[in-house]
Amino acid sequence: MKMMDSRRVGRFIGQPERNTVTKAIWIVVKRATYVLLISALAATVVLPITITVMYSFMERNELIRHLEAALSSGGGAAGGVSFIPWPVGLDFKQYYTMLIESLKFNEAFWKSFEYSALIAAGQIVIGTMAAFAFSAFRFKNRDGLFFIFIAAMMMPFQVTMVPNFIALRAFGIIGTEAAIILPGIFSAIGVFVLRQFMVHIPVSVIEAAQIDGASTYSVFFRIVLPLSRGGIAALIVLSFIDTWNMVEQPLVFLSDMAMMPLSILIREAMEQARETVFAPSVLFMLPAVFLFLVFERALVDGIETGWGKI
Amino acid sequence: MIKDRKAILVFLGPAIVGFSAFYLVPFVGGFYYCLLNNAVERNFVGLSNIVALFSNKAFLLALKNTCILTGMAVPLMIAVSFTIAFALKAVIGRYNVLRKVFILPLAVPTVSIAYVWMLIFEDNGAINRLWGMGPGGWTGWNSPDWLHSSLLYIPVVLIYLWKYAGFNIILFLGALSSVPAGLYEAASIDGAGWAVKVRRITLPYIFPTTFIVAILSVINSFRIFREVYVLCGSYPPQSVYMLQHFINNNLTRLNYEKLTSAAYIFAAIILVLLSILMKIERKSVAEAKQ
Repeated sequence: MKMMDSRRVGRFIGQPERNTVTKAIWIVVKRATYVLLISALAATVVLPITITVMYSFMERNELIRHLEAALSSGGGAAGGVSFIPWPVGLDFKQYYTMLIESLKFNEAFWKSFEYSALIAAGQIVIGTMAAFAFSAFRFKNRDGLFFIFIAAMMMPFQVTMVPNFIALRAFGIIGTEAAIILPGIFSAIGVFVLRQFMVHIPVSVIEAAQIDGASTYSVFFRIVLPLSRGGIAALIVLSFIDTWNMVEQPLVFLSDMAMMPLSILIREAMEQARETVFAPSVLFMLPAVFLFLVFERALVDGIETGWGKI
Repeated sequence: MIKDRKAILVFLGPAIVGFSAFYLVPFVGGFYYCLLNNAVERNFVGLSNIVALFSNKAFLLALKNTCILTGMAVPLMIAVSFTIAFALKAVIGRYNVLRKVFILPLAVPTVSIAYVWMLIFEDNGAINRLWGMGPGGWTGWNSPDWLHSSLLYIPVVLIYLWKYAGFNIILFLGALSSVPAGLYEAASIDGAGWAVKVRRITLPYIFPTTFIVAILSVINSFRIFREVYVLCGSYPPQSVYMLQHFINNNLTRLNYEKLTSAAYIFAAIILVLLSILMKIERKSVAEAKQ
């Protein structure tokens, strides 16, 4: 206790502490350890992505040797192949085959793009309007209604599949592209993400505009929408990534191969011709990763401001 | 707050109509299918389908596994993402490439990376080769069979952490930077140690965020089924046979009454879980106000 008192006094009257040097070294060592550990962890996190990219540039026979080595049983360096998938030389044949020789990957890529873009656009329109109602209006059962949206958002696809299926059959659109797009547009995620963002718009801003004679609609278009750009950017990323990644929905709601998104084709290639998987996998990653890198800051800001509290 | 009644209808209308049409109404109406013996004969059998599920071995296994996986993965996720966020906060500024790296896996589609996961965890994959050079080589222990034994839940939990921790780290980073720095200084002056500061200042401040992280992690623990499905198909090793497998497989076999009954039980469990989480949150917010 006495030690601490003298230290405290020392700090306040500006005298150097006795152990300043040891302390400084200790801080540097601590910081360096943190940086080292975190960087090592970060390197591990990107490793699977790096491996995919490396495999995609491998020559076909070399790649098959690597795959067989990993799949063979028994320890040791099977077949003399290192487990580090460093390609001997850059080979673009996998990409060439995929893009030029077999067109089905191209078509499926644009199908994936169509689904993701349409669903994101629909969610923005529906979501901004509903989120505005949930955040700026006061009405009976508002919180109860929003609870239903949260609950729906928590349900895995295998649960929502049942009501989706019943509705799609009733409307007679099973097996059409609308069977993927419509349930996607009306899913609860858009309302949730945007509402979390909009509740942070101060009520006073809206009230000031109303006092100045702005109608509810001009409050929405001129104040709330521009202030929600961050939330909309966050929704674009999350929604696009989510649809882009879908696997179960097309398997259940579609049967025509021509309508299948690229995720389904890659999954099939995994089972049939494994050495053709990597180039499509890398190209399939690119749009989502690109979108993510472009909007990362908006997404992070959106998450940080909006999601701290329900 | 706006109280324009007509405008509420205009703004909320499209969402309510669409959500009701594709989710809410068929969800409530679809319960009727649980009460029929099958989709062809349509005889009313009451709750016997649901009762029958609780003596169905596959269903009970799936239910048990889903509960174990979520119960194990969610607390682990909260602990791991909080620790990483805490360490990140200690070493970096707000915008940093490391933060980007941790959230990047979220953008990587499941099917793009699934095959590489297989190669990493296969019999003679990267992990087991390392094992052979390390402890396996010294001791002569057999390398673990990650993908085709009950050990599979370890890769599944690892992939789950890999994919979803980044989002939670961001949430925790936001919460950690909202704690007023003055509080820590004041506590240091009062002689509070590191552990006391975390327990008394940090944890109460980040509680609302932890609640969100818990909800998202539960959702994501259900979504990890997609990875399992792409890795192992419809019949994985028993330890990761989940409710989603049960529902999917009954869809393939056209057992609609089993499938819908299982889906409604699943939904009921999630609703109960959500209500409990919300109660805990309300209670702690009320306590914080006192």
